[in-house]
Amino acid sequence: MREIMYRDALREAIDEEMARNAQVFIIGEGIAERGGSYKVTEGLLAKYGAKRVRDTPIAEAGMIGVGVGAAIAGARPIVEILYVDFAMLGMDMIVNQAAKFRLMTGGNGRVPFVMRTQGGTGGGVAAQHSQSLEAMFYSVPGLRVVMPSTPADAKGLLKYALRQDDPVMFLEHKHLYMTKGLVPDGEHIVEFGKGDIKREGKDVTIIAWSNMVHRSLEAAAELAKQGIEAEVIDPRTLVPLDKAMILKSVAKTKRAVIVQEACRRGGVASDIASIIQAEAFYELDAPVEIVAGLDIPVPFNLALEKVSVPQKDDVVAAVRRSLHLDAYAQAAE
Amino acid sequence: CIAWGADIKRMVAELLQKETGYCRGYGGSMHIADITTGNLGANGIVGAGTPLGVGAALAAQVRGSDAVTVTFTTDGATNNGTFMESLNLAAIWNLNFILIIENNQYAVSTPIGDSTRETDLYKRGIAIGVESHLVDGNDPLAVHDLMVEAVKKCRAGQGPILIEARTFRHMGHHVNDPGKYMPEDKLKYYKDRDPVDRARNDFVEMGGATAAEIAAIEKQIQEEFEEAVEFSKNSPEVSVEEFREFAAIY
Repeated sequence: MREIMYRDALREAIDEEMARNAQVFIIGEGIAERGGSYKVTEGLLAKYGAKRVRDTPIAEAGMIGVGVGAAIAGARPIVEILYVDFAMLGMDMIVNQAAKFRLMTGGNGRVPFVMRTQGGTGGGVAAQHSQSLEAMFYSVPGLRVVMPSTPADAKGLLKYALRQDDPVMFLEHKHLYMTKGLVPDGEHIVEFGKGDIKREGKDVTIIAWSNMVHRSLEAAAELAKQGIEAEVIDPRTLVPLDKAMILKSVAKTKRAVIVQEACRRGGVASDIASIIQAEAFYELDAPVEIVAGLDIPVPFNLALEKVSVPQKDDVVAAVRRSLHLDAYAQAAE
Repeated sequence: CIAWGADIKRMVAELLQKETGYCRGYGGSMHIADITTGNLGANGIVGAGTPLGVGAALAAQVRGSDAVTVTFTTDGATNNGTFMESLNLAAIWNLNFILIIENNQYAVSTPIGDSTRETDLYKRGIAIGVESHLVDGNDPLAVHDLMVEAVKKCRAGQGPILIEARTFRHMGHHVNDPGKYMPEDKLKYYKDRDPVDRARNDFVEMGGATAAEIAAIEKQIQEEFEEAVEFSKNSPEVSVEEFREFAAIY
């Protein structure tokens, strides 16, 4: 095991897969000579050359489109989109092309396309650079939705993404690039659809992904001081979703708190809550709690940004409600 | 597609929603694709084929192949943003890519002059440094010769190439569109220059085939389609059970 940064783990994954398979290549804005805005692709141009590491103009629909086309034709492109917000320019290519091709060809055509991008709030980058848009991709059958929270998961999931054959929305978090974590030495692959227990506990299940895993772990540490043992589970991939892990944990703790940075309305948390109520209703000792962002574009002001997305204290409060230690939130709130 | 070896039986079966269709009846007329013969599929989203084609050309370049990718698009698609975005990518990367704009001068019922001020669409390629040509789309031999040249140029590293093939429709956009908006005189002008008639005459005139040989080929085509329809009618329906299994991957 080595302790490395999230961005280094991503680079290792790309590097190892490019070395292993000549079909893997990467395109994006400023990713070649400059090494990308988050330094994920640093050094890859020198190692793999200009054919496999390419800068693009600012043309997201075109970039995503040619990535999908290359995947249909049998290559394994990674298209780096600077912010998930900018992926909206390429939604036709993602939703109508990449996601549909396998079915439209009766299962004969595959699209091993990986779009790497990042989302979430990150210290005052305002409304068009702060969104968490996983629910959009989650609601489109045909896409895989991956949201790693740690360097080890980032590496293992990206390597797996580059070996499977369906279009992947690989959603990193801008706040995580410089965070460190232990990554196993040698070949390290994390399959899709297998969640991870980030902290074991018996009193309540906290389900979180991406940066919210860290908020939830902070909350769990504080709850431990209050004598509450929270289990923090990270599905790691939202599609496919490790339902079995979620239901097993809820069966143990009898309580579920789902934490997402994305806005509350139409979120993945709502869908997971509906799965829990439908399949584990009789296990529950309390209503399923959802802690989510406000239904509002994220403002520039740092104090207001903080109010717009879940904080540690919001998770602590939700856990205490589910344990009947505090009053429930009013429906109107 | 047929020239590339596509099986008419499986194409017709797809139109008739049968299990034996190219896409098991899951795709339909808008989405027939056959990866094995290099047909990456038609598209239900106007303009989407251009970036996908550029992507296929990019894949070929990455793997060091001299394969050439051809996308057929239309005048109606040229005002979509991905037209310029992806042709520009093909240009900066010198891809083996040929974009054919079949300019039939109407996007459903909107005449080209209502969609763009510059109706010479090939000029758009020139604007971004792409070798661009205008050809009479109703002259099959001229189109053929230009394509042969374009493929050679791509393989010599001079791609991408844009070809505007100007033509006209003989009827409305779809079965329930009588196409009344097309001016009579223009329609007559182009009908008098029907590319199929022209090819037939040109072949005979140039000594490539006799009228009898062409008639025999046409009879054979007719029979092949009749066979394909018969084959499709006798093909099994799709299985709901298998569809449910397929759905599990999503």
